Amino acid sequence: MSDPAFLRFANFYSDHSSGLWRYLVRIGADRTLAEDLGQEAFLRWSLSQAASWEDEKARAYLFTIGTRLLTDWWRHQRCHADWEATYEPPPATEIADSPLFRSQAWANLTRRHQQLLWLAYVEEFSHAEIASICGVSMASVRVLLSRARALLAKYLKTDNEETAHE
Amino acid sequence: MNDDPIAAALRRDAELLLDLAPAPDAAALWHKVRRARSKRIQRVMDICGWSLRATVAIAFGGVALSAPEALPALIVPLALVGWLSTGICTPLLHSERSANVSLRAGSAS
Repeated sequence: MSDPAFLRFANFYSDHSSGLWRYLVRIGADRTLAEDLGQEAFLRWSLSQAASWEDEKARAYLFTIGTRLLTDWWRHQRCHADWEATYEPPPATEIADSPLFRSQAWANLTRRHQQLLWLAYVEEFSHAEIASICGVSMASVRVLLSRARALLAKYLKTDNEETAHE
Repeated sequence: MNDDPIAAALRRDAELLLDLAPAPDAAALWHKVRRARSKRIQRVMDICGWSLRATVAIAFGGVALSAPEALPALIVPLALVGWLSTGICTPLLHSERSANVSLRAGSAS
């Protein structure tokens, strides 16, 4: 298929589908759900005006759609979409070798903290983009992110100390 | 930022998680995108079609009330407008149906 619309879609999809999947998995979706929501997010993105935006802006919009789809899904499951609660990831998405899972460091963070850390350090979004994805103000992003960072550093340090004692 | 242990831990996890990510299949999703776009256009066309039909029906009703003797002469144009609006305003539905028919014919043969 040499349709330019398809090529734009295919490039954008192959560049960002695994990034969106990883983000959804790390903020609370299981693997299958993350795949379904990821596809739905791309579908909605391609039907929106964002499909003609430049890549970085379009990517932030895609992550916003993904976040809202997951929040909606929680609501449909009659779960309270509580971003401030700590979140135990499904066992299938835990990776034993990962530094985040050696001492439950990731599980000790709230969903909001996980979301902010992932968007800032893995996806490298700007504070303004993170604010629009999470639906919080830019000033809150700065404060919450520094708090999340301090907490994760504390848990990882504890983990390192425990490993050293052993 | 390379020496930042937080960023390093998160990126290490992201790398490991990448191995578990499903392989992207753009072509399959593109079909869904096209179907969703067709449905959206179809909805707009349906609204246009029904607006046109409603307008003609109201005009017909108005004529029927003010000049009942002209009514038989208006039945033919009314039927014509109804028939044409079906064809004009639902092209995607018709092309989809004909595509389905040709697909079924293809699979039968």
